[in-house]
This record gives sequence, structure tokens and C-alpha cells, in this order.
Amino acid sequence: MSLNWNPPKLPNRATAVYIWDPVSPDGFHYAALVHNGGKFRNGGDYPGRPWTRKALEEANLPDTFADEFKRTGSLERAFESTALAYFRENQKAITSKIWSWPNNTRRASGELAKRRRDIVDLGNLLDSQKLEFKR
Amino acid sequence: MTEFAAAADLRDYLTTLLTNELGQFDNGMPRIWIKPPHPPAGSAASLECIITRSPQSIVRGSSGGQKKDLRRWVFSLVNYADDTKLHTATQKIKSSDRLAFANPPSYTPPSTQNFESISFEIFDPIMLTATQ
Repeated sequence: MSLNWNPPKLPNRATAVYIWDPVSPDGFHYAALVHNGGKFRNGGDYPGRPWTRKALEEANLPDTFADEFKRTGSLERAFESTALAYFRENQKAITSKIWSWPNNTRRASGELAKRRRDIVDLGNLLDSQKLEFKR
Repeated sequence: MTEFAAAADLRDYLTTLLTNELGQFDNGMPRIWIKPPHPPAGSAASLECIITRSPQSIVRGSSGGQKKDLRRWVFSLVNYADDTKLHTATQKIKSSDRLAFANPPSYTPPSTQNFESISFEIFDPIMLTATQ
């Protein structure tokens, strides 16, 4: 018996790195605090809003990968499409009004944010989102 | 890995594991607490551990007719002292052979606005039913 199989070419870039690094006017890199939450120094909790987890719950990344591989026959393109799908899902999670806050607040943008809100405000977090492909 | 029957078991384990890192509440007890209810005052700048009383529950069936609860215990450390004890405690927790992690810990660095903190999710599945 002979086996005839031409395996697909393995991608050169097999790591997708997502970066959020907004900085406040006083130099504070605040993405981790928004995502993970924390304790204010003047008392009280800062609720976490883990948008990357929400995006993982919503995105069907295995199906995205399989569909794109079936369509193109390329592992590299399937990987890039899957990474981009997760990139978009993160943007969707940030801009969705699904995050809880203890009370209504007036944002820096002037918007009255209710207890159910997105995490956009001035858009610095959203605009800072980057995707880098690495080996 | 061993099951934690209740949050109190996890508290007892962490109290022993982190005996040199945890601070004290104002009443002299180790600064580790199962929430709710709210923890007592801890005015001294030190390391605090808060455990969520009920684990997150994710029930799944299996092909054998059994049901599993893929429980996750959640606890967090807050570094009110701005020292290195949260780092040391984190290394001890990560090195523990009794704790399996459901997700990477969520670390929030300190800033002028907030204290340093870290949250852990411990994977602790249990079987709910068994076929005869």
C-alpha cells in the first residue's frame, strides 16, 4: 500500500500577538486596569471588563480556521483570517454596551454613561488595538 | 491535585501556603477572607486575599451518562503595601502542585490610582452523577 499525501505548507508566522496600550494624559498605561479590574487607592473596586474573554466566547475560531482552510488550502491564510476574526471580535466586545458599572457617570467625552455601557469613552483603548504576526 | 470541598478548604490551604506573605486584619486574623460577607477592616498596608464563596459552575454531560461540574474557584490578592509580597505569593501559588489553573492569572500593575492586584481561577472539576 502506498500513501500519497501532500501535506499543506506550514505557515512561517504562527503567533498572533494582540496589543492594547492606551496611555492617559498623566502617563498611566491603563489597559490592564480596565481589563482585569482592581482596587482604587482611595477605596472601592474598579470592575474588570475582560473584553478578550468575551471575544473568545463569541468568536467561533475553530470553524473560522476550518472554513478558511477549506476555501484556500493554505494554513497560513487560514491562520491570518482566524487571527483577524478574533481582532474584529475584540473591537466588537469593546464597543458593545454589555459591561456593568456601579452607577451612571459622565465620561471625558461628555457622554452620560449608564450602568450598562461600552468601554469606548474617547476611543483611546479601541484605537490602540494592534495585531502583530510573529514566527 | 485535590478537590476543595468548600471555599473554607481553599482558604485554609492558601493561609498555610502564604503564611509569610499575608497581612493581618485589625482583629489579628490572617488577612484572607471568603466573600460574601464583606471582609473586616484591614487598615495596615499589607497583602490581602479574597476568595469568592461559590465557585463558578460549568456543568457538562459525558458520553457515559455522567455529569461533571467543571468548577472554577476565584480568588484575588491585593498588595496594599506596595512591596514585593504579591510577587512572592504569586510564585508560590504558581508552583503549588495542588492548584491547577483554568486561565492565566489576571495581573493589574500598580499605579497612582490603583493598588497592584492579581486574580486566579483554579480548575477543580467534580463528578455530579455516576452510572450504576
